[in-house]
Amino acid sequence: MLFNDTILDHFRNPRNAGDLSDASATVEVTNPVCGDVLRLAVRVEAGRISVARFKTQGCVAAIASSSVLTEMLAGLTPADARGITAQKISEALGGLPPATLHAAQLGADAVAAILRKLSSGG
Amino acid sequence: MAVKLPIYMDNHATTRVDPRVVEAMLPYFTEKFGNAASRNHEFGWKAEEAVETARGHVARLIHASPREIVFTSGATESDNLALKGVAEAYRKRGNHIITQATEHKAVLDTLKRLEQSGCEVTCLPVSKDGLVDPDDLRRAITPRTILLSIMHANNEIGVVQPIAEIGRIAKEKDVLFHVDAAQSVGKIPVDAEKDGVDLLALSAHKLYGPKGVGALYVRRKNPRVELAAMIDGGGHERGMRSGTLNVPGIVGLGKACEICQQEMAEEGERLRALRDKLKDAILAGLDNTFINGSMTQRLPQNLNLSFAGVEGEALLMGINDVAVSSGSACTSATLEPSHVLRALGVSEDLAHSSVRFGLGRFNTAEEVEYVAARVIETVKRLRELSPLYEAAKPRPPR
Repeated sequence: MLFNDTILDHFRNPRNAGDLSDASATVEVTNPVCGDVLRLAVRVEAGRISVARFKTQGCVAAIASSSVLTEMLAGLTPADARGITAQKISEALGGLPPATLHAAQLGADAVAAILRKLSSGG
Repeated sequence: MAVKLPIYMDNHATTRVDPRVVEAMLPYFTEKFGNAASRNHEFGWKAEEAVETARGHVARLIHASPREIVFTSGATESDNLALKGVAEAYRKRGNHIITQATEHKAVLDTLKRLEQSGCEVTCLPVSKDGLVDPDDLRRAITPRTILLSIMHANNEIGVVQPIAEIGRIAKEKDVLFHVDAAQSVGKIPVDAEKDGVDLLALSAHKLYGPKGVGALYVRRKNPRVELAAMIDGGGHERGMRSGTLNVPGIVGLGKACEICQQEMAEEGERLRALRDKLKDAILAGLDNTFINGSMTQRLPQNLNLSFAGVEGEALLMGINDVAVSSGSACTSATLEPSHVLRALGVSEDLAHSSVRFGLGRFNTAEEVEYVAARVIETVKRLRELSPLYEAAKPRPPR
């Protein structure tokens, strides 16, 4: 499995890893088949996502997808964040190998879940 | 002490060809290039002589007679020939074959194919240690049973099945016994005669020989095994495997077997000590780390560990200057983890977190120290990232 340098960089130096103490919303999503788990937390300030943090147990692609996702989320309004798809996460990483696209899907699922939570009042 | 990177510790996948093997093979590409089937000139005679010398070395290593060795392209072909060859040749006598859950795909997939053409296959479970119960085997034998196929050492967890006991059952019940011994030949003693084995598959590249060559042992007396050929054309290898012999490869296999015969006992003890050192260092440095498979009935070269809270592929990529392998299947089409670990009853989570270490002839104590330190450091880092691995912290609200 050959990963590009962007993927490997996010895997080796994950951005925004950890917990968020004063999160507006926190979700945990799982890929039931391979067991990957992503916990995503965001803080919303003045209508925009100011910080996103993650913790992931999963393969290289899952960790890299989570990491890049937190960068993509920062600064977006929840409405903008709706546009984040698995394809967009993969593109932000310079293209995930097709066999690992399920990892980006986990990220997209987490976005959908956290937006639901935010709209229901956190 | 500096170690040369990357470190290869994946010797169940393949091994580096021993330089002595390469040296023995080289003349058979150039000045001794003859066809072993050319009966009328010196080029052919020299090739044939080299093939027969190699046959002797292979036979000695597994306590067989040279006339019981059929050269093939490797253990997968040998397994195919044994299973399909017996199924066809013994069709009148029965169609039932018994195997067990942790076999290599070369056996399991071949048996699946045979099921489609009318064979009945019983696949026995294994204990949590990875061992098949000989009593289960005995009970599974019916009047229609023609063959037992049980591996010697497992390729993922190194667990060694009780083949001598199974051989006795096969003899007592008058059924044939095939053993996939790709991982054990050259690593631990194999005695086809004494253990009552009727067919045995082996491969050169698992024992410091070249890829693309292997052998099938086919018993010639008590009983004389009948085998339908899978490849026709010229009647080479007493009709059981036609095709011009891979003379340099066969010479390499023979030399590799000769070296193993001489060095196996000492090498096994050295690698057992290194393997135990690796195990002890990792277990001392990490909690929630589990050994997969029996530690007593096991190849001295093998260690298979599951690290809770870590996905195997991520761990492998995290220690990318060390070549090991994982039972995780995050990148495979099915995402299903190792069938071997699942057969042991290992949970899916822990199967995804498994790593196989395969020590070999060229590994050193310094390499083992380095690998242990890298594994400990990387597992700790990945556990920091895991939302599931925070023993002390409270879970966040859902």
